[in-house]
Amino acid sequence: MSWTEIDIGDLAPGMAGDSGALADLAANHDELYGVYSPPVMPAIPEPITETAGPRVRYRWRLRGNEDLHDVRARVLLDGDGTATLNVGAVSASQVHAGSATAYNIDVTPAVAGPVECSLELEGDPSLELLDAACFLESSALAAGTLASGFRRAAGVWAGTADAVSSEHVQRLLRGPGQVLRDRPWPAFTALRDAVRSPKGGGALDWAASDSTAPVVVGRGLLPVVADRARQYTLDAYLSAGDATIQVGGWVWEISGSGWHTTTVDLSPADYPVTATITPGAGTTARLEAVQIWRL
Amino acid sequence: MSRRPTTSPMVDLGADDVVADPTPARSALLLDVDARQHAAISGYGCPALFTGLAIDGAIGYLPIRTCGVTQVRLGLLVSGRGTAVVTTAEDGTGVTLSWGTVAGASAAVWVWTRGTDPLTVRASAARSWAMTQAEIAITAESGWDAAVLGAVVIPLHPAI
Repeated sequence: MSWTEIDIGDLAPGMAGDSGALADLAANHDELYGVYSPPVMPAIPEPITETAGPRVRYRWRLRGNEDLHDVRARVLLDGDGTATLNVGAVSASQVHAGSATAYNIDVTPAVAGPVECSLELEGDPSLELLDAACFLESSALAAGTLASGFRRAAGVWAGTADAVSSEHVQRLLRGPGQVLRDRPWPAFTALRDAVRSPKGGGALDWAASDSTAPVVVGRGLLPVVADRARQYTLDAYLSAGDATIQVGGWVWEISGSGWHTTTVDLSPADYPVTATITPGAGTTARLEAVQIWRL
Repeated sequence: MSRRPTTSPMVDLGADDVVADPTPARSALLLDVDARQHAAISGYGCPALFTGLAIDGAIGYLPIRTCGVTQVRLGLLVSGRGTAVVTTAEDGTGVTLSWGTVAGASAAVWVWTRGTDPLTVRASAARSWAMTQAEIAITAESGWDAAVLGAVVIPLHPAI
């Protein structure tokens, strides 16, 4: 299959029920399901080395995926050891020895999102993760109504002189939305190493232990990804302390270890994002992940 | 006839649309289907994104995953004073972004540097997703530190 650009002049009143344009719409409907594969985790922030393990070094959240598509991590490894992709309770590993090599690590998840994913490294004696990204690999398009609500369209309706059924048109109208909802867009992703020692609020580390005063530990930009006001979903993983995430003029305060989630309605614009942490007296605050999704 | 990439309609909000039975035949319904599919496979389905980075060494990597584009525009969130050259397998010259030098003696802290030249990431604007690894080579000015703290990747969707 491949994508076919429709000449919209062919979608005119009086078109035959078996017209090529109608068949192309149905084929594109199925093709979109098969090819849409945005990143889930676009990039790790920096190369890291693990000498002992296994230890989780980066964690992020996967949303959507009602249809349980495979989660694929593409990793670039150098040295000797094992890299493991965890998706909820399911894992897959890649053993590597020698010079830098890229691998795909695939996991078929057991549950739909939201679910925690993580990259775990074990050096033997030392393994460097130079680069990593994670995305969904589309499953083969099955018959029937899928968990996402999607239903295939190509070849389902091919009447010559019959009226096009309402159900068929509804299926086509819903399809793109069902695919994009099930594979949401990660408009903003910022991860931090879960192991590295805090630098005392340095600009490169989203952790601090030298102060009980709020420390700005991260900044970024939520780029405009829609042309109308819409809702965005925020996920943040805080392993200790308190944190504040500010998106434009909107402020979200979180406290306590674990994943935190909220939603916010934003008009189309680029928004500055600021992450601030507040350690308690004698304790460390660590913010390991901030993700903003267009669901 | 070429068509511009579209960021609308908001196709994901149409996931629950109901077409009552019977509905009078209207070609507008099929035009709407086409518009949603076109948006999902172009601008709305592959818009800009931000990813945090923490590259304070000489070399870092940025995977760029796109659909239907050959080029992207980059913005880097940076600190210190330096220059970053971003290249890919498809673009050996790449783009060069500098920061901190305009401000005289001071270093940049959490500022954006944006290029005017696009970065080529793929040879073909095929309607499939593919990953390209961009390499970010940082050179700090003498006596200064330089770091890249994040990147905005903006796909440049061509008319199709």
